[in-house]
Amino acid sequence: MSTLRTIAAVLLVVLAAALSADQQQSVEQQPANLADDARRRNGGPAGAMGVDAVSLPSEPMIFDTAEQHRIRVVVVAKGFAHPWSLAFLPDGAMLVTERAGFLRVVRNGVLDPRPILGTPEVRVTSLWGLMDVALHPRFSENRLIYLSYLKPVGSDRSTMALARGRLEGGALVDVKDIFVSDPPTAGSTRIAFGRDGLLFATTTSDNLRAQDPGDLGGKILRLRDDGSVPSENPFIGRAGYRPEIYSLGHRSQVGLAVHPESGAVWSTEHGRQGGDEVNFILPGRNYGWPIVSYGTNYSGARTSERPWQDGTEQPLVYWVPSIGITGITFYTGDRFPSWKGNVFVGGLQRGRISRTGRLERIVFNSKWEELRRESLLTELKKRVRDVRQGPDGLLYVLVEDDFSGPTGGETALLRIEPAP
Amino acid sequence: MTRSLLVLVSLVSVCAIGSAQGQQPAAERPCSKGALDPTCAKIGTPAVPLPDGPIVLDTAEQPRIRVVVITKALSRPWSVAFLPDGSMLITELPGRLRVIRDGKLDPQPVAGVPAVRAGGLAGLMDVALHPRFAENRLLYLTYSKPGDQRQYTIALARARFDGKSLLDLRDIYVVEPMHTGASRVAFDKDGMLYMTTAGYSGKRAQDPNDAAGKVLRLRDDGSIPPDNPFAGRPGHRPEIYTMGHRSNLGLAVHPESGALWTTEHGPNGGDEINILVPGRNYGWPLVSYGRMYDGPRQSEVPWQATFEQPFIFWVPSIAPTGIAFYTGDRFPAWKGNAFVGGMRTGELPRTGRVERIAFNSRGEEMRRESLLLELKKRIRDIRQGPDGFLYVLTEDDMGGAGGEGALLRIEPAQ
Repeated sequence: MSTLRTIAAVLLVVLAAALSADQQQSVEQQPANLADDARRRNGGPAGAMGVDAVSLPSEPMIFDTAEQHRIRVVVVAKGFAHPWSLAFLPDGAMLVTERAGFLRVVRNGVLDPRPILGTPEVRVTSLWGLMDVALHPRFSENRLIYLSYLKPVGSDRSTMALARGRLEGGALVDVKDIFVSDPPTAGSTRIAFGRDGLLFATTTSDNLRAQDPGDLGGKILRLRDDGSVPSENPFIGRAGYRPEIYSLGHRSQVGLAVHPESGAVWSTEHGRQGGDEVNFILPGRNYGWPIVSYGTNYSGARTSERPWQDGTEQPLVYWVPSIGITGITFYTGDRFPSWKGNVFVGGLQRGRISRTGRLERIVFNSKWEELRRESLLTELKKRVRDVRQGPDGLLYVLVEDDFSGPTGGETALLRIEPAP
Repeated sequence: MTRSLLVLVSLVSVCAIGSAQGQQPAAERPCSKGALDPTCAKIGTPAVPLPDGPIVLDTAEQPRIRVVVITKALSRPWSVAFLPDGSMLITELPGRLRVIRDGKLDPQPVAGVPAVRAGGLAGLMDVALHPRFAENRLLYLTYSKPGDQRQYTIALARARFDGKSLLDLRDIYVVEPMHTGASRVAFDKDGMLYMTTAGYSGKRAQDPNDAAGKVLRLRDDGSIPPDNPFAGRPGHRPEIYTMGHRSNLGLAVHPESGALWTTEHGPNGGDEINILVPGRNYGWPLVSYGRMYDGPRQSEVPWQATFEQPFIFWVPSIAPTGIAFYTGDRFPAWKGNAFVGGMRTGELPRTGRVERIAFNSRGEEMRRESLLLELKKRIRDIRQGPDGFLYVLTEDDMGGAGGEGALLRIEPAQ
């Protein structure tokens, strides 16, 4: 019921367009009346901040977009508890992590009610818990799965850890931590495999630890698939430097992807208020947090006097105001010809206003310089948690509602398809 | 609820059919010229006509607003000013000054406006009343003034308005040498007049002996006040107040501090709000947070110690236009907020919006909300009316023609 108002507002504009296409002019008042009715039934104004949430329909939604003119958004499955990441299995099933510590399977469009057994014990906070899931590059041979999570250390401390296990039947077996950061290292963490089979993992730091080469917070790490440190890492043998570090000066990197053709490593990084970034990661480089940022602190003051200084890398793409940037994927498929070569990133909310999540599409020239940027799925008023290209060349998106609670409100796995 | 969404989905389908053709990628192409470029013309969702009746929308902090279409018969409206008798003056870029009286557009434009060089971004731009308009009936216009051999420049004209015609029209300031671009005019609390000039290309914005790419400070008759920051300094034009600007499409005086706020267009990325400090340099084109339209960064580094940083900025760009501070009582949740018009976001047509910025008690940004996105219009100007409502000028994103030009009023809805 509460969604009617918002829908009616959208409807009005849509109606107007449809009608004028037919050269009709008579019924434009109707949607406003619809909104009136909805508001009345709903008992007056909603909370002070943010428009109302919108429920997902069970039928596919069709949207027009700027360059791929008709897309259909299909709800594949609902009912996750704070979904965080997804991975595609060779048999066509999908794995979805839930922050509360569960690894779920979506098979033939149905969410298996039984979580996968054997996942590690996680510390669940309002932001973190079980986070990323990734398949070993030779998963079809070795059935190895990697999970990143917040690991409890004693009664009150936590740290970032990477676990590996074999997926057999409905369970993970031989699960062990292959990497545990020095406690306390809390925060978002993603995993991605490079084309050479080495593993990248992100760690978070809101403070100067991101600049400390002897500390694992606020870094991108590079490890072998068993968690050991590759001998060609950029800081190997350098005094005062952790050898796992691949790049430093990061805040909270909720997205990490390796380009399937070039092998380039891209991460998405949260600024505070303003200054969300896509970074092109080069070994040994410093990405500046917290000494330089394009953003401001939540209190309003600038995070740094200047957005850049010598010796720090500039972001490739950034957002002011922030969009609460999450997962990232390169579109390399053939199903959306106009989107080929584009980069997609998820966003939780824009400008610190609730229910303004979106999927951002970025168009680059051949030198990976930005040309255009489009906001998609804003009509859903959901937080977009992750986006991936599936093996079928379609895009898969995890969404949740914009309020904290045990499950994240209405949550879903969506598939974006071209519409005929 | 499900039924409503079904209706929505089917309607979206209807809208989308017309544009299903033309899916070839415009991959390598900057689309800064929009519809003027045939490949880029295929980019963007279709335009949406405004309805005749009011539109009711939900917003984040002012839960229900009603958007009333006062007129949609304008042609590329650029600026709006409120007369003491409750009527409104609206400039149209092709060179007309229109009057809205009792909520109706007078079909007869105001007579006696200067001849303008119209086309593209050029034409009749801003209109502002003298602070003592009620006594002296003086108003000010900025416009593209035709010159010799197809050249033109920006001029500031002053005239008396008798309700139908402009009388005693004369240019009180003409930018030399020849020059084009957007120009706004505003009066501060002391009655001094400020005028923006654009400096897109080359380094004219950095040349202290050139009036382009600057904010100028003048007396109400166009003469130069002796207390200007560069007065008497060799090699500096004495009318310059601030320098290093690309294109300032918005200019407003903050109601409490009296400071001048401008909105400035970056290229692709790096749109700005600047709070002007006399004599300062705002960096264009030597530093910018944006990219050139074909991709490379505008400046190798975004920061240099000698230049002012923007107070607020947008990446991606929103193409900011007019700016207004909300001081009225009609929208209690919006009091103290700044409103900025935007013509397009991220280089895509039909993504214009009004941006609302909320501040803390120290005047620092706390939140930013996009409004009126549903209309898919370019927002050309936004002002608070004497009645405490917000007034918005919109046009379509259709190359040179401007499509449907409208004046909207935003009111709280019950």
